[in-house]
Amino acid sequence: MSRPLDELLGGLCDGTLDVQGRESLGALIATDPEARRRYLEYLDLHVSLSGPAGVTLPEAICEPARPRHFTRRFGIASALTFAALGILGLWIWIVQPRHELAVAPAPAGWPHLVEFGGRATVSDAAGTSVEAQEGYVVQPGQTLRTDAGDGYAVLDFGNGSWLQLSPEARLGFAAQEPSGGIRVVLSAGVLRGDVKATDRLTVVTPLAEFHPADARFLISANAPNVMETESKLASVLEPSATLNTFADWGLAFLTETSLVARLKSAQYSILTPDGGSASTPRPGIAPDVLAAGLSGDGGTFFRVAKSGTLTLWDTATSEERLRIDVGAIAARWPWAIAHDGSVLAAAHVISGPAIEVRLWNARSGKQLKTGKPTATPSCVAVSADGKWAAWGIDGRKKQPHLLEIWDVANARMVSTATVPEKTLRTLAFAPDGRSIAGATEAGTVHVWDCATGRMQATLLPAGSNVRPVSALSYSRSGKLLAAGRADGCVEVWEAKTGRERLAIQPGSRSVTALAFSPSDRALAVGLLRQPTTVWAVPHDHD
Amino acid sequence: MASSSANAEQLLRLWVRNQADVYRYIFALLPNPTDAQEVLQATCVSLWRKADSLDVTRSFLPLAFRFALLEVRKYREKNRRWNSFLRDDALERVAADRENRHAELELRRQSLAHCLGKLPPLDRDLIERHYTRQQTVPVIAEQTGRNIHTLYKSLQDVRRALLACITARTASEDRT
Repeated sequence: MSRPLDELLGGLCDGTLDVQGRESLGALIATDPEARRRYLEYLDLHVSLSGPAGVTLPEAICEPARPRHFTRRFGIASALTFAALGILGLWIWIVQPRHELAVAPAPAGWPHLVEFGGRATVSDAAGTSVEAQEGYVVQPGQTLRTDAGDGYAVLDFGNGSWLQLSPEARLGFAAQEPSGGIRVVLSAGVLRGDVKATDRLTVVTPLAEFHPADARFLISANAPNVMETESKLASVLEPSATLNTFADWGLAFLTETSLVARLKSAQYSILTPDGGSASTPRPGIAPDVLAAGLSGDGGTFFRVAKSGTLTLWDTATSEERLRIDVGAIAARWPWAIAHDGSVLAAAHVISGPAIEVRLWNARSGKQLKTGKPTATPSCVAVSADGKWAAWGIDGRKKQPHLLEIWDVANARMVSTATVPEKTLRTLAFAPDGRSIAGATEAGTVHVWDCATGRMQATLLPAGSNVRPVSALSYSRSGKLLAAGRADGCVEVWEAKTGRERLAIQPGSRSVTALAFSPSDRALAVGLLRQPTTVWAVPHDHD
Repeated sequence: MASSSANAEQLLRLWVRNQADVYRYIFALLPNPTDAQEVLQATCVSLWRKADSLDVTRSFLPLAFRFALLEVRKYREKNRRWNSFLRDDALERVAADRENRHAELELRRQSLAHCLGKLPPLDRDLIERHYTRQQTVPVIAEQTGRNIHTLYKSLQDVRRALLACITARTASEDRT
């Protein structure tokens, strides 16, 4: 493990870590699973060395807001004392002069703070920080931060150019030598603005470098694209195709240039994004359909009728491939089909507590050994090659929420994982079948190792507005994972690193379907009763 | 169904038995002993209030962790300074990892005594002074005549050595 991380952790435990160190450590822990692992081990060691929980430790950690020794015995008296100290501290903070930041004065033409919400904090390289007031000129070597929630900050250049920071943003300032001008580093949040070319501003994010020039822009620290609200700038976030088909219920790329959309009418249509055309919906409309779906490779469409007849079609030829009698079924069973169309799964409540997940070989029609969930599944998935099935278990009646993974051929439970927060609502196996992504009702996306049930990652969108996930899809290479949300937003992450590659909002309604093209270069997004769009996925920057 | 007083009694027993584990969980999310203590107390109160409706026959720790996480979130709402260390999304990741790794961390703790025994005398003395006798580093520096910065560095080196020893020991136990 790298020494800098251990030094940060040591500083945390010894109470010698400064503000910048704390933030660096927090950022590492947030983004690097290995750093998080080390953090947990380090802190657990520190607490374990201290003896039983509740024993006062020798030194406070992380700039305590209250006296260092606090035991239950003196609880009320301590609380009153702390409150009094807090009020005194607040008075001192308001009345007394601010700490000075030790930096050089800003060159002429640098922007000043004209408006902010919440707190706007400015810090320097030494870790000194103050709350900025209106009129403050942010100087070279300083970093401006905004609060979460209703935090924001507006900077004015005095000549009509302006910048605005979103909540939870971080913008570092530096002078550009020898040419002059300002270089800002956006390490968190979103920056928008309208800056003249003559102001010579360079905006740098972890994924992009950008020179605003006479037009409004918006750039996020987490996305490589610059969004422009007026013309003339370099790259613009727009879909590469908009199709007038509502793919409410499923999408899959059949080839790099053709898309299969499952329609609300329990039919499918083949779309060609480049030409903007759509085939006649197939097969014919059936009035008693309870479930329908598409395989991930776009090659198989299935439909289940109320009568218990399951029919499968080859989408390319529109030929009916198989009919299976699945027996009496009920509406709202979650159904799933393997990416290659080889295995179908349906969660089935027989009666009372008896629950099973029925599995069929979708090529021969043969029913396979049933899966045995421990409670009613909230969602079900089948791995790309049909070897594994998985389901989410709703943790009602004080039971934990679970993910259960099933070996289809050997009819045995492979692993079980506890799902934090809320129930799983959607699942997606990685193409290699080694991991599985699941989205909970809370809007978080977790990735688990299938063999061990160990959680590998938790993914959240940048910013704090997390809406429930309504669709989840891996790319065919397994390198990318996309999540679509109830508010129409879509994020694409690199599966291995958790880094956000793309963040878009194709519409305002719930995302119902996501599909990557075979090359990973395009992402099709289906929305509830809104046109289907296809987006270019940025190339790998590594 | 157990009577409410039996439920409460069982809850109390479970809490006493598992309180240390809950504290360790909370400390991973709020690495300040005073703040972690306060949240521990709030968690206890919160569980106690729900004593009648909790199913004490189920596994206690996941339930306690859930309550603790809720209290941590509430605490962070009131103490926004914690957001500069871990944002809300990062907190959830740490919480999930901590819960998922609880059993593994317990196993690691069991190796601690063995690894402490392997420390050189000077390092063992430092750990004993700092953690057992609860002496601050400046006090240790004054008493031993050692440089404060050297002592901080030594503490970090000792922790690193302990972690390596624990990792090696748990790895070798996995193989047997």
